[in-house]
Amino acid sequence: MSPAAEFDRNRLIAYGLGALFVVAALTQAKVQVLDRGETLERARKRQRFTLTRTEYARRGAIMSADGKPLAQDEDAYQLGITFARVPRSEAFFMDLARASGIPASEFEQLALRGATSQVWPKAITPEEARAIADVKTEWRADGVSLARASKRDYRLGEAASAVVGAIRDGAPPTGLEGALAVDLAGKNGLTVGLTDRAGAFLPMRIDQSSSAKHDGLDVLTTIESSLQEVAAAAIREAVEANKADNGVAIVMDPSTGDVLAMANWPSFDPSPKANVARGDQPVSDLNPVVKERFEPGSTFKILTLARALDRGKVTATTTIYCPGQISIGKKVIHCDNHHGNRAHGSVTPEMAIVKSCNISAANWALRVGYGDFVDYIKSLGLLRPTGIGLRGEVKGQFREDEPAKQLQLATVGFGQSIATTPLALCSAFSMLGNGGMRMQPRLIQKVGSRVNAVREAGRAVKQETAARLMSYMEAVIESDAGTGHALRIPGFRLAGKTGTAQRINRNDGGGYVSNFVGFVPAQQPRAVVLVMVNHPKAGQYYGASVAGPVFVKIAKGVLARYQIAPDSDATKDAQAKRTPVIVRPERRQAGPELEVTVRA
Amino acid sequence: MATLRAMSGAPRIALLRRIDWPLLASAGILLAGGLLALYSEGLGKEGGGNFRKQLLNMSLGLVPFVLFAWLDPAAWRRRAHALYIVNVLMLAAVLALGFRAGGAQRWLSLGPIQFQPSELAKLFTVLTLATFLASRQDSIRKLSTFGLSFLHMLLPVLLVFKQPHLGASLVMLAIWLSVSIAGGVPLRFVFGSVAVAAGVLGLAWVTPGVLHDYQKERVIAMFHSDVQENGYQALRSEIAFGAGGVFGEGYLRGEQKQGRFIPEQNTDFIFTVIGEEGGLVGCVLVLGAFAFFFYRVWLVMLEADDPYAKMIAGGILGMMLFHTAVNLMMILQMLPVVGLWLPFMSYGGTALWLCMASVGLLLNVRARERPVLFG
Repeated sequence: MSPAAEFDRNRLIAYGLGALFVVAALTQAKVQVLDRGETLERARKRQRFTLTRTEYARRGAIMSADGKPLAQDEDAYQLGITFARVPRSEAFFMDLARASGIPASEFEQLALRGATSQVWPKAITPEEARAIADVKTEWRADGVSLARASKRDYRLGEAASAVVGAIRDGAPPTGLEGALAVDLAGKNGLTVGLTDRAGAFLPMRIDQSSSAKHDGLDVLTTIESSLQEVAAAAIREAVEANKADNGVAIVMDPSTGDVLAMANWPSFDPSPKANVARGDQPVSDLNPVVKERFEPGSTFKILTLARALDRGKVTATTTIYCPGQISIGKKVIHCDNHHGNRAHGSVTPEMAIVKSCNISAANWALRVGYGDFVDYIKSLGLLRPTGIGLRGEVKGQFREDEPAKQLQLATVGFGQSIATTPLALCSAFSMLGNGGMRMQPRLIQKVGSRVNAVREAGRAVKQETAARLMSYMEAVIESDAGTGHALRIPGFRLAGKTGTAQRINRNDGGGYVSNFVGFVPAQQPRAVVLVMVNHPKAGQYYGASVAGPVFVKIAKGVLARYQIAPDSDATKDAQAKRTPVIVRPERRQAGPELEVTVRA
Repeated sequence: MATLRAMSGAPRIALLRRIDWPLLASAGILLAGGLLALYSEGLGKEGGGNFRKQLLNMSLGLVPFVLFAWLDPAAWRRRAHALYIVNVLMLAAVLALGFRAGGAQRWLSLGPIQFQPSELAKLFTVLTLATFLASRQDSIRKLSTFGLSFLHMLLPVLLVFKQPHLGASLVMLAIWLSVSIAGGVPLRFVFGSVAVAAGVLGLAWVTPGVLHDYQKERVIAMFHSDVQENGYQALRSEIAFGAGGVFGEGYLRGEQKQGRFIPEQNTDFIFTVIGEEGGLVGCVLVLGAFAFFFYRVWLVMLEADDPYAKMIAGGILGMMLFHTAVNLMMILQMLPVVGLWLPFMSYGGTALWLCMASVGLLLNVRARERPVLFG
């Protein structure tokens, strides 16, 4: 290589180097000084590169035991725009209008008027929401937001609204919707970060304030949708036909404590539209099954007898002489007037149940003794909320500080001086259908994967005691003259007891609560049914004629739901075994109400 | 030749007195500037960002620096074959054993230290290629020599490209060309090969499977810079410059920096910190420091008599210049984002060690040349 060439080569490199740095400096000057305004303008719009995306958690569904949704989210959204963070372009508004179904002129006018933000009440469907999200991505319009609107589908409507509850604007959610609000709601996910051209977030560029979405948990209840509908329709019919204040019907599986149906009337339409249209009162929040107390009345005699038999204070053959009335302290307890004669004479326990003898029931209670009887009431769960998982559940009332303890004990024996929720009462009765073992009432099977197991609440009476009482109750329906003979379903053995209790609150003129407790079927019952119709004012108030028909409708529903095979001997059997009993219409009077007398 | 004797025969203590202080000082200034920028960038981040780690890297870098400054470059020349084999083995090991970060397999672990063999490969290639061409000075003007030197480069370049590390493989091609120029290869060969390379790249672009999608996307992003992530990175840096203006927002006061608007600002985009906080003045000062550094490296190359020494200087000059130019153009959106660090300033251990080793080697070469030329 010649020295000249060598020199040229080095000089070339040097000139190249020098030129490079001059160019670098000039470029730098152009960007930083000459085009500064332009680069700053881009900086001002920097938010458009960061997208905030909220992934709305799906509210959990409330499912029936048979897999039907009792409450389920219907996807609906509301469009919101923060005008400072969207492009002010006609084309953008046109695209948004096409996607949302809201006229573009609305957007433009608001933008022109200098509105900062706006939320449209129109419900945006999932398809529209997807289209809007595309527009948002395409235009880098971070000011467009889609909020999940509370659109909830309640499949059973007012048939289950008290137990399922509802979400309404301006009011706390009720029922299970309220009780499990946190589990159902889940947690919205938030993604803040940079997107690529396709709108996908770049994994390395996600801001730390991002959080994952957690959908709400699904709730599996014990409710059988078909039984719930049957029970709701039946109690509605009874309340309306008898002009009653309200009524409840509970169906429970005695072997598990599962609440298969929990219906009441009046009820309310849980859909938000209906609330707006009808201006519903908050009375709809009342679920009398757990929030109201009733005196159980003479159905309670069954429970009293169960304890007395169980403790050996009374046997199946123990006779008690009923003179029509007895005095305890200064008070007089009397049986109802039959044929102008209150006295039942000497009665066995079975006869006493059939005749609904107050004196006998008082006597049984007194034989059991105060302390043991109060323990018994407590062990039946009557004085505590059942803890079934609904809010606002009240506990039973029983004054333990009552000075006249003997009188109190005697009256509790036939279901007075004690008030309890229908649910607690139903649970107490249910033990008779499960061989004396009471199961913890259960409404919620599962929340997400969290299982609410079936639990025993404790043995209430011995198995043979329970069986004996079941046979007493079977007679009420299965014998031709029983109070419940009209409630028979051919081919099936049912057990039950009618009752007519005085209303506790007598300020509004007294009245009655017509009751019925029944088991379907009588042998190895699949369901215990409690019906209460509060203050019927259309003439009839007896348990058999007011609450009984509700029981029959529900019993048919239970037989159909569980495909229980007819027992061909059922009716014959019962007739052969039982003393025929007849029903006597009875004048209205407080206290004893099993309108049954033994035919001579 | 006296020069050759001087190369290998000077007493080592005497070398210390012949240090090219301006070269060392300009490198020191750039290192200090990088540290300042890193400190500012890491402010408010957990643990102060990477500032402390870079300080540690710098003290570890004294080892390669002293090693390359002390050892006679002739020793590397004698062991060029071994060096080449080690180089290729390490690059192959990365593909076989290395771990992945950010979508590419570039790293090897040696105990607690992770390093990128592709960075070492740059320096090793300078040394082996310089040896190769120095031993063929008689036929340096022949196309066959140039062709053979290409084959010499081909294996390491392909191994780096496979990682994939497009930026590093381009750097190695730049090294090949700059060592060739310094070694006396006719310029028409060099420019001809650039033209051929452009053609090959064009073909690679249209042939599916050769270039990775993300590599293509970066190029595409240059032309759609307002919508895409890669373009975003580049646009952000432009904004940082715009915000900086003439005098900058002041040290430790940058807004874009605080908002973390520029991804990976402490590595490839460290210059944007200077642009925003130091403004045009800061940028030009840093550019000036680079210019002075490159001038001193150029002097080493110019004044070297020994072709081997000349080519070492030329190769390092080409490598550093390519890194600097591509990094700045990438930040200014004149080139796609190819992931090349800014010498001395970007955060990263291996890159820093490479720079410090290179400076050591340059000082070494310069010290051994000087007495003969001026003495």
